[in-house]
Amino acid sequence: MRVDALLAEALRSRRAEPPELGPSRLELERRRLLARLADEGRSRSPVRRPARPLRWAAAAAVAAACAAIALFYARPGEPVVSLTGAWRVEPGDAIAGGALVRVPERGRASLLLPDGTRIAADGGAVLRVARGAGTEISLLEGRIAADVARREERSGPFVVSTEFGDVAVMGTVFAVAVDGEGATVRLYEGRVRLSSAGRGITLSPGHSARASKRGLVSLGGVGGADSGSDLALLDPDPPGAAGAPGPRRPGTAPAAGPAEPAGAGAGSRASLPDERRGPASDGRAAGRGTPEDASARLATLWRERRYAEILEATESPATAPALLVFRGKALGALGRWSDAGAAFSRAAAAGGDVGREAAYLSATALHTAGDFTGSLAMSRRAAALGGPNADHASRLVFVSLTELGRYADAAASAAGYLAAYPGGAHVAEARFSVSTGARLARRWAEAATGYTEFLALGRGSAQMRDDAEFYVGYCRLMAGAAESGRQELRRYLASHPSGRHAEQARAALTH
Amino acid sequence: MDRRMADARDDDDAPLVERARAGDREALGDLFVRHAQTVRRLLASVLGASGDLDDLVQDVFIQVYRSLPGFRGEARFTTWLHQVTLYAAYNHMRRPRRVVLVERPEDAAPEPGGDPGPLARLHGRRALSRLDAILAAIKPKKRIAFILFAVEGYSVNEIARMVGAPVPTVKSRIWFARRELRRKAQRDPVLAGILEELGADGEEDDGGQR
Repeated sequence: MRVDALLAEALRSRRAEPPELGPSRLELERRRLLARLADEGRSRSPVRRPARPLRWAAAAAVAAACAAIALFYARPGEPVVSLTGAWRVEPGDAIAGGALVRVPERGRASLLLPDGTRIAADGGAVLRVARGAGTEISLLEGRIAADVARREERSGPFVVSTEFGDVAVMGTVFAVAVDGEGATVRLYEGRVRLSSAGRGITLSPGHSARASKRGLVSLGGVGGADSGSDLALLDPDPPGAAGAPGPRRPGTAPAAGPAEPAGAGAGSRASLPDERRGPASDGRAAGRGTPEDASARLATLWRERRYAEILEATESPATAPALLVFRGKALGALGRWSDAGAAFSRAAAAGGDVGREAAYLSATALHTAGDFTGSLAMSRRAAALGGPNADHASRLVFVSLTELGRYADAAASAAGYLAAYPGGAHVAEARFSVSTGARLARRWAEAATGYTEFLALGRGSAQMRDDAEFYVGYCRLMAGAAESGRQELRRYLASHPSGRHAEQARAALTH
Repeated sequence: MDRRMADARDDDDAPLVERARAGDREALGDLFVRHAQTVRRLLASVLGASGDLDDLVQDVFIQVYRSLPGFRGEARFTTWLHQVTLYAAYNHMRRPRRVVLVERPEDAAPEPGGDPGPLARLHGRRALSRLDAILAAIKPKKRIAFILFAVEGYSVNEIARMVGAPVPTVKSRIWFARRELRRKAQRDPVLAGILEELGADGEEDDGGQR
């Protein structure tokens, strides 16, 4: 057989990759596109950093040709960063520690360090991983979110250093953003200490603080920083943008309330109180009678859709957790899902039934906002807390992992879901995820069987079913069962002549 | 091999195209949902492993939006979309970039379950990364023509329409790309061994006669 024919066949073998965009990612990408188009039509404020206009034939001045989601690999004893997306770098390839990582404006990158810590870097971020055994990250510019692996006390904290101060963590989920004036830290869970110029603030979950040349300031709630929004790896619509689509519902979330199109709400402007360690827990909401009175009042406001008043009544950092749930619901109704996730996250610190419900609501809100790192953390927490939403929270774990491109982890999580909830509401979706994991690992026969089982359940979205019907045939072909594989592909084409995989199916049958 | 165009899909596109041409961004969003996966696959096929994929897909649709006033509907929308996509791929290939890569692991991780055989190894990650590197060194126009012909299965005539070049030019590009690919693969330390195991020969091809 000719050399070039063999090589072409090898290239065709991966035409099923890259993994296709799931419905959530597709929607986010659609929104990102519309936001870019809107940006192009807008005049730019002299204060904002100008958006990079699209130049069709320009040479992009980016250092690391970074990626969508990156996979990585670490050699023992040395923190290394490997990125997909550089045109000759593949998942699993390594680059030396100490490298400067620069994420393109419209890109993002995910990094794994030897201790299991995961860093998500936003577009425009510039950071450096320390050389040698240390695990320090120097964030020079932009935003990162981190899921820090739990560390032994004797190992010392994981440190993110910035020009304005250092963040030391011992196993937590947090976000750091550096701009020209300072560094802002937002904490989702765990424990974080922000120090600068000899002073320090220890944050509680759901709180944020800022270090600048003027010193350290506690900013109260996570949603209350200068931009009013949590870190999101993809955040195509700024909070309150008119015309933003209604929120997605990743699972049943009855307590989240009706979806409302985003109005022209003002960006969140948190008060800047004196330094405080965390919320008071006296249950009073801005001094309005007993907690029960406050709750009843907020419930009335909620029924009457008076969301701005709910926000005003719950703006204080001293707001009780049960009342923060209303705040989260109001923010969600206004389409400000990042802020909603933050509010629910604060409420989740309460514990008990309120905390359990709030943890799940936080996970769903953050997922809707595209903050999959945050939704992963909160859904894990919600699943661990148990309760009536544990099934749905467990499902959100593997969905978030899928959105983050961690397909193997997603498949493992989905397998865990199937074991824990054999009659659960999301069995079909979990079965699909497990099958996809097998397919991407090239375990073709297992994948074909899995997709067949998924189809037999008779559930799942139309897109999933389209995918599964194609992949049953494709995976059988790849497993060597040519006749049954081709039969399935013909069956797929008969049912979906213009389906998502019609061209691939025809190509496979032709060859 | 002729490519089948999705007639039903093109008919459904027409109203969206008209609305997008009139400035309706939501209509472009709907076109994006319908065609993003196809654009993404085509870019991945031509460019190989590239993590700029999401951004490039966005760039394609931005360009579509800007260029729609000039789209007169004489060709199918999908054909025109493929042309815009290839143009984006072409410009991406020509864009200078700095690679952060400092060093590579010398030894690839062994395949789980033992040696799967030379053909499976040829389809494996390590061989494909070598192949991507070889392809990346081939000039963009030749690379695009080869990928569209040998991987995507377009006919020479279809490729000529898509890239806006005469048929003999396309044939020549394919021929030269094949020759370059063959020669470099046979000198590559990873690919050469696999090809030898498979008993592949390097005889001259028919120059894209299809």
